[in-house]
Amino acid sequence: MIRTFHPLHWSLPAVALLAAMCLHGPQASATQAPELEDLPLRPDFGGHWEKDYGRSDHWEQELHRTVQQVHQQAQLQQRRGDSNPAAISGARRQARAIISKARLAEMITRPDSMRIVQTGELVRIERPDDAPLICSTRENRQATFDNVHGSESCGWSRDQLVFDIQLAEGVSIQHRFDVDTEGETLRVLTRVSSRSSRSFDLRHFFTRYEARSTGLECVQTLTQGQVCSTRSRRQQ
Amino acid sequence: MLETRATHGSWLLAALLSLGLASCTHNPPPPEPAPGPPPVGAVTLMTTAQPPPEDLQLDVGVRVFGNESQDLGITPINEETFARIRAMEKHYLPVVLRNTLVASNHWGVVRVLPEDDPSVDLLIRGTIIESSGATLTLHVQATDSSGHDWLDRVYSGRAYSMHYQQTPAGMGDVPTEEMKDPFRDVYAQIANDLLMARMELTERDIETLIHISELNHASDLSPDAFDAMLRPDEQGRLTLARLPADNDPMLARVAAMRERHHIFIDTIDEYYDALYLDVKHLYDLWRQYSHDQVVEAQTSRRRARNSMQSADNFEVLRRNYDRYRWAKIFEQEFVGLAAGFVNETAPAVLELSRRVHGLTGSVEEQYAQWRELLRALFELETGGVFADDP
Repeated sequence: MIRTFHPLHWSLPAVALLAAMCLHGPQASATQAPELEDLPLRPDFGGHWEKDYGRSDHWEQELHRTVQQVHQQAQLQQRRGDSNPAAISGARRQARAIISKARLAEMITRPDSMRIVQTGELVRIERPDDAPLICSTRENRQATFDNVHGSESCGWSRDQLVFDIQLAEGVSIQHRFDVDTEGETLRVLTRVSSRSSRSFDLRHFFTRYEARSTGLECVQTLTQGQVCSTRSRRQQ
Repeated sequence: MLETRATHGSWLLAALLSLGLASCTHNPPPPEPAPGPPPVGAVTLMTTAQPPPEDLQLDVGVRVFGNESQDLGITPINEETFARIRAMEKHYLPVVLRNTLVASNHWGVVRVLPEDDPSVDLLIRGTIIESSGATLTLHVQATDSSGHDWLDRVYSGRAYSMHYQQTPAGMGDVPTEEMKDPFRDVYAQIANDLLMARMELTERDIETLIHISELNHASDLSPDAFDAMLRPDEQGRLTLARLPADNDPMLARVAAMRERHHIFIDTIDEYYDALYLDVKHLYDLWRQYSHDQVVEAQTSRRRARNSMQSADNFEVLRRNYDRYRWAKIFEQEFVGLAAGFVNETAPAVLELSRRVHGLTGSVEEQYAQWRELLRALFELETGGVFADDP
């Protein structure tokens, strides 16, 4: 199921579709193939990506900057004559909330690599120690998870792939993925927000790398989990 | 809307997107799902060592079930996998009912059929309302060949951890006895209700019913020759208007056709049985996972009801995110298991649709073709005596 794409930018879904058909063999081609002209053009996120720390935000710096902005705003209000104690304590509360959001954003974005599998049907973003983010490449907007602990939806905003996660107590997380025109840099904007205070943003840059191919083709089974075989054996 | 390439920046679209979702940022914990029909409880299948005399045995057809169950909480992106499981269940669950009826020893031949069949004495139609490792709800209707309804009832059963404590056959290191169906009480209740309905009939009623079935099948082959022998009463049920003579050659031909037809539907029934045997251990295992998933969902609901706290606290945020993350990982694993189940059962499902007797298509299509073929054959053998004039 692992399909790595050539780093061609804005590769046509047709290429993905053909690749999927080749790898799956006749079984996949027997299923209803979508009409090529019906498939929307999507940028190619597929591949292995590692974090570029030099270009990515540092969460402490971003936190410092955001908290400073909140303090400056509070000071500005004071200077304007608004010495309402509620406003001052409100600013303190906001700062506390922003710190919490920043820590959450840091925790969520901590993995330094990710693998993205993209087919003509879906994009699957796999991050270590977290649930994969999965979105259809065909639907513009789709609910992808719904549970008492949170819900998730995804969609395409022009060339950006957007995941919206709604957690309990009104906290939301947004991941916004886009690739540069060469297809070599992936940018991820993660925004943690709530109604009670301003949101906190972190931007991370990832660069593409070629992972060593295992040469294995795996299929999920119920009784034995992933059952893998070498491609050459399969071709025989 | 998001796909439009208007000149507005993507951030405007993002804002709209966020705005659309803002209305549901504060979801109160959902209540427990509404309870379904009461479960049947513990039921003992009524069996007999002494089956009815052969000429009083009613042949039963169990039609492939309909499936209206929905996988609540499964997001659209995973629907296809679960749709395949539901499609498999339509063929699997009727075999469990068939086996229960056979085990009771109160009936003649019991077969699983792809369509309504005019040759059977009693036809059972079922619809799966809900099917998970924790709950099975079936709507079952049974109608005899005269059109009399025997049963029209919703049956529900619950399975608990203890039902899954046996190791499914072939799963453990040590071979164990085949796992019993966790919803056997549901099937036993259906079988017992059918028996109760049959016990209300006299021997004469049963003999008449068997005659009506024979004429129904004859009429299906040649309506012109046999239609007049059956007459609907005020309630629309078929009654015998007259019986053909015992030495009627046409009846002998019909009996021969009926024999052939039975061989065909026996073969079809064997395919369903083969599917059942092929996937049983996988399905038992799958239902066990499904049961765990239902239990986990119930636990999640309980946790969610007990935790409404400030979103400004990092520990609260972290805990909420972890719960969401693990719930999603759990669902992903469940979806993975579902895909594994579909992958492993695919060969058995394909086998069900293999070619039979030179006919093509799905089992349902083959059955329809067979009925057409049988009519044509009958017409050929009778020299078209009863065929409509052009």
